[in-house]
Formats: sequence, structure tokens, C-alpha cells
Amino acid sequence: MESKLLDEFSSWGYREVRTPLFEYLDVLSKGVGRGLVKSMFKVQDGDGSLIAFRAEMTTPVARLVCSRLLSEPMPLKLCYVSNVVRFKERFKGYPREFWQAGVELIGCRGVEADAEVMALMIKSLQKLGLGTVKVDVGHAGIFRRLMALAELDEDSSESVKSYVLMKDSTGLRSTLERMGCKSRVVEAFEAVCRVRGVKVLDELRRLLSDDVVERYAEEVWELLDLLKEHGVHRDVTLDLSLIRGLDYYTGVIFEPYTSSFGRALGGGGRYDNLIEAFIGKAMPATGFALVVDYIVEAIGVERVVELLNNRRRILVVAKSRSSYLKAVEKASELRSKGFIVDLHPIGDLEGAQVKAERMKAELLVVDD
Amino acid sequence: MRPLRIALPSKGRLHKPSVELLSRAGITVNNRSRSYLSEALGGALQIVFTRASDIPVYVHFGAVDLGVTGHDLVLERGADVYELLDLGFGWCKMVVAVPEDSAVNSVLEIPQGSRVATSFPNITTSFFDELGVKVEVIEVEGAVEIAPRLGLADVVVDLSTTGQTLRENELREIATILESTARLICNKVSFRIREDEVMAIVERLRGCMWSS
Repeated sequence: MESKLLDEFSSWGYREVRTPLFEYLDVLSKGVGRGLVKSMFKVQDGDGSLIAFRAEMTTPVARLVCSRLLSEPMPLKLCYVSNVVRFKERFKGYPREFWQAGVELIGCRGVEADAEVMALMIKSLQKLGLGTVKVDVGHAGIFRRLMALAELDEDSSESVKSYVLMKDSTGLRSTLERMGCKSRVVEAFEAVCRVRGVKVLDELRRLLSDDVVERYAEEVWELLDLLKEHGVHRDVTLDLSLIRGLDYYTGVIFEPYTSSFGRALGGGGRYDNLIEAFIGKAMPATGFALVVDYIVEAIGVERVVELLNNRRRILVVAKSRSSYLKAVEKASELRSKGFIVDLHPIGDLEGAQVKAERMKAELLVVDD
Repeated sequence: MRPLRIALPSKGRLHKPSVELLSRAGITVNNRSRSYLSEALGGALQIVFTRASDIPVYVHFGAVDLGVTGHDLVLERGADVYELLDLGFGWCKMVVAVPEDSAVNSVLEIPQGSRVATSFPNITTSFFDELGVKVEVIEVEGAVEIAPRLGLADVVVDLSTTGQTLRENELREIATILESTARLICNKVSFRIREDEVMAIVERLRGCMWSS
């Protein structure tokens, strides 16, 4: 599964990178938000500095870019498949360790970069044989602007965020009204929760006629046009209540879903300020990460095994010591023809029979 | 694809109004059979009865698409779900209460290390954490109000509608943590993948919410 994803990513020109399993906590916590920092496993280094295990891949890749790859021609296209670890969240049923497969496109400010990574994500998922794949798009810039217009203090902006995440208009309205927000701002927030599709952009224009929101809305329209040109627009829906947990997003945000799994399969978006936090120089970037474990669960383990085992398997067993040379030669001949060949211990004909049946392999007994 | 699934509280104060709301909306619930899965709308909807406090978890993981449960329970279970409708019934507030003869008059006066009995340990823990008041939270499943009299706890965090149960147990309310009503909640993926079916149910229920 991992290699299928990597193959697809590299056929679009993305180069595989690897990052260390753990790094300094202050490096890994750049931009990821309090929640994720809390859920990182931390240990102390010999000199007392705090080290954390990676809990996601975007920040480690950004750090790698800053220390090693900035002299390369832009834009940089990088991909990875990697394990990440987090403390168990409140629900049991999520593993502490899971695998992420993703790409980062660094050094391109245009919204065509967002469209490219979204198209790559959708096409990769479709190639894996997931039935329906739907993607929702939000925009961190629009949401930030709304928060700025609402002029909230820190506490109430946290609660407004969580109400939007739940589309809870009761809580949303009462908090915004308590904070003395203008009624058109309250209505704008409600529209964000309630209205799906591009209609919400018209609603926001009518309610706010705000230049910043307009500029970002233009970006969203352009994104949708570009997705059409990639041929993936049909399953994409605008939903501005999609804000995701990580603080580093600055523009387009997106999440993929499929009918056979109850959570998002991953997510991504634009993070133009994260690399700047490392090098002090502006560097636009966008990307996504998919959770491989979720994809496997959505497809179903049995179908995945089927999907990956399309090469024919042969179980070769030598009847006795004297036929071993012949068996070895036969095995390597078959391997060179593209078969998967499993050489069984000498003389164990009974065991070979059982294993061949279980592995759905053909059995080849080599005699003198 | 399987029919859309909705979970309703199998007992407790949210059970009856939930069933009534659905039947006003033309969704007949075969309540007598009490089988855990029954069908409605000509097989287009499956109805599951389960504990109100578990409904956020079922919906979070997508085992059921929709559910009727309390806002307090969604927060307590930390479920990442949508609340599509405030159904209006089942109003209550979650309060902090101390024995009537206690010298404590506000949460900030609660002595460090006090024991707090509650059936909402997560909400209670984060409430006191945010205030910076260090307390020991003791989780009990029911009859929280008697904990102080039995010497189990100094403080309780519990639901209250009229305040009568608190008074009967010689407890005095000193703060409100939150107010809650019943909500129609929805799995975030079902909401997107089966938007039309979900919205059809939402509209059906929205139309009958205030009539009774």
C-alpha cells in the first residue's frame, strides 16, 4: 500500500525524503498548535533539552528543507511515507502509532499548487480502489479574517472555533452575542456553519463586503476552476467550517472522505508561514498527508491483500537433499520471470501442501 | 450502501421526547420490540436504541450516522461530530454544588485537594484545570448528590433542572459550568458522503421541533 502511494507521488515528480524519528521539541512544536504538542511523546536528552517523537510530518519536512534543500531549484516537490506517534486521545480505538503518506510542494505561491496536490491526492486514492472519494475544501484565510472581524479575546475565540468545528449554531450565536459582535458578523459565522457549496461566498459578500474576504474568495473560485481542469472537481465541495486542528495553515484547507470509513482519511492545505518561522524568509508551501491505516481499513484488509498480491506465487520444495540444487535453480528462474517464489524446507512435502493452500500459491515439488 | 442509521436514547429523560419527535416527523419507531435495530421509512432508515452517553461515541466512529443525545454528553465524550439541530428539549444545566452548611461560596474558594464527585469526569477535570483549582475528581455513575453526606466528596458536579434534587440532599449550587439541550448529532463523514439523505432527515425533524 505504502509503495503504491509512493509510486504515484513520484510519477508526479515528488522525491522521497526521510526525517529523524525524534527532534528537539521546540522544532517539532513550531506551528502545530497546543493540542498536538500535548499529544507528543517527549524524552529528555543528556543535556536536559527536551526531545519529542514526530507526531506529524509537515514540520519535520519543513525543517529538513530549511537545513538542506534551500539551494535547490524551486519549487521543491517532496513526498514521504512515515510512521508517527501520538498519545492516545480520549477515545480508545485510535492507535498510538500510525503511518502517514504525504507530499509537500514548496516554493509556489499560486493556487495552482494547491490544485495540483489536491488532484494528486484524489487520483492516488482513486487508484487504490476506494469507491467514493469526496473532498471538502475550506480556507484558513477567510476564517482568520472572520475571527479578526469578531474581535474576540483568547478564551472566546477558542470556544468559537470549537462551536464551528461542531456546527453548533446555538453555542456559536450565544458566545458571539455575549462578546458584543455585530449582527452581520454573527450571521457570517452562521453562514459558514450552515451553507455548503460556493453559495456561502455570495452570503459572505452580501453580509460583509470585506476586501480581505473578497480576495480569498477569488482564490477559492480560481481553485475550483483549476480542479475542473485537473478533472477532479466533481467530488469537491466548499465548506468553510472545515478549519482542521493545526495552527500553521494560511490558505486552502482540505480533507478527503470515503463511504466505508467514519473519519477523514487525512488532510492538507497551504502553510505559507511555517518555513519562515525557521529561516526568517517567506516561503510558500502546500501539501497533504493521508493516514495509511485508515485507507487500509476503508478498503478492507482482505481486498488490500488481494490488491497487493496480483503477482503469482509459487511454493518450491525439494523432495530431498540431492534435488536441492535443482530446486534453487528453478526458483531463481521463476523469480526472473516475475513470480514470487518461496523456497520451502527440504523434504517437508506435507507442510508445503498446507502452506501453499493457505497462501494461494502453486506448489512445485522438485525431484531428482 | 447500508441504510442511514440513527441512534436514540434507550432510556432516561431523553428517551421519550426523542421517540415522540421522530413519530411527529412521520418516523414510526417500533418501541415495543426493543430490538436493538429496527427499520423505518420503508427500510431507508435504521433505528438503534442505546445509552444516551454512548451515542456520541457511536456517531464519532461512524457506526451510526445520526444520533439524538445531550450536548453535555457530546462534550463529556469528546466526540468530534456535528450538532445539526438544537432539538430544544432536555434542557438542564451542569452545576457545581457544596453542602448547604459549607463556608465555600464560589468555586475559587474551594480548598486545594478537595474531592469532587461527578459522572462527568472529563468536563469537571478541564473546568477545574482552567480555573487553576487543584481538586481530586471521583467518578461515580449515579446518585452523585449523596456523595457529600456519605463523606465520599466535598463538592459535586451534577446536572440540575429545577434544583429540587440538590435541595433535597442539602446541597447549594455555587456555579454553572454549562447549559445543555438535546441535539441531533451527525458523523462528519456521513454528513458529506450522504449529504442528501442526512439533510432530508434534518428537514423532517426541523419541521416538527416546536409543535407538540
